[in-house]
Amino acid sequence: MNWLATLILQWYKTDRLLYACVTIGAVAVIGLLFGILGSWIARKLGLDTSRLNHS
Amino acid sequence: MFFPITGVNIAVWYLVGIGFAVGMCGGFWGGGGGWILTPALYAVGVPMNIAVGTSLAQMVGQAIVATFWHHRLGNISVRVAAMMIPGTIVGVEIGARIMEVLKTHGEAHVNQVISVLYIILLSGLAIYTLVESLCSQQALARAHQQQTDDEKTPSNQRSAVADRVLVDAAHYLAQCRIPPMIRCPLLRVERMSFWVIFLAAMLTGILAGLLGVGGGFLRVPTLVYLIGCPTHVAVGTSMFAIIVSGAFGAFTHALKGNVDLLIALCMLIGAAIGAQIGSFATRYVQGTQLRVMFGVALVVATASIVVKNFFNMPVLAIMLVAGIAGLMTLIIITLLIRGVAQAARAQAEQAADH
Repeated sequence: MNWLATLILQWYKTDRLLYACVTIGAVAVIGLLFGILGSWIARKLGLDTSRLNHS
Repeated sequence: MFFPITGVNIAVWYLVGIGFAVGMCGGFWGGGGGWILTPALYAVGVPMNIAVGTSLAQMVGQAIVATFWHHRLGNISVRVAAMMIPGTIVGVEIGARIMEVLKTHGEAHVNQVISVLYIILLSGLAIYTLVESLCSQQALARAHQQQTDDEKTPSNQRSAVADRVLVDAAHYLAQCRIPPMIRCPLLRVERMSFWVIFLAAMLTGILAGLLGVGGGFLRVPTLVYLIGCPTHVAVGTSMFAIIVSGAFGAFTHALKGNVDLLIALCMLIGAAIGAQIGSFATRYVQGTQLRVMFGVALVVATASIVVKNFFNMPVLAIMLVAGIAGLMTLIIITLLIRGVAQAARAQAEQAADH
């Protein structure tokens, strides 16, 4: 974990544009991964995630 | 664990736990949960400007996860969300620039100003939520008791007045005829000026950029009262809009050095799981059941900022924020389990009848 903290700190101090891109990229990738994983688990558990009727 | 960018020691379980609670409440109510996340970070010693930027960064991942679920449930109007993007971006940039101006006066000044703004916003919202939900509940109780009585009770009148003000305001704004005009038959929107949506989005964007909140508590009522979205669609659409406001806000704040990525990632692990449960809960639990709880949570979040900022009692502030976040999580999970069980029972009865 320390190597990651050091790397991120280095980007933060030296290249803010890279740091900003990494920030957005990291949170987006984790969000997507968890979203896909969650959908897969819901399907496996047989949860009802069909569309709701909003009328 | 030591976080070198912020320079503070925070327990990872605290970040993951708060993230989980915030994700669940955000997925359920359609907000980013920044109103509890920023005070939670501030309570453990994160400077206000970094708390704001970091909240926005983790909100992006959380909103992506929640949007996945709301999309499956058919809760998203992409057209309305897309129309909110320009106003949101302008608003977020204005908010972030105001933050930069505040930073030139020093960190203590930022903490003070943002804390006071939070106290004003959260307490105002708490009063409105509590009064509105209590009036609605009284009116409903009266209606149940006196179904045959046509005479209006004072509580009915108060609720009617509160509703009337919102409906009148929405009606007044809907009269705006500045082109371009938009229509969305799916949401029962015949003709509405784009600029009304732009202004509403810009206001929520400013709050996002300055206070690190997703703005769902403002966007959802706007979509419901102004555009006529069904509540579930408003919640889903709001989550989709938060991806844009959060991403732009996190990017611009990261450029200005206001984001601690490691803290954001720790919270996101919890939030990504919580957001899925919260979004799924919208299928079985009515939001109105928890409106009073939402109001109480706002009061406690306000109290935590007051306690930390004006009485210098960080431990009590942490206990307040963590306590209310945990309690809300517990209640939503309990209601969800009950809802799923009821649905399963109903399905079994239906099958037995056939």
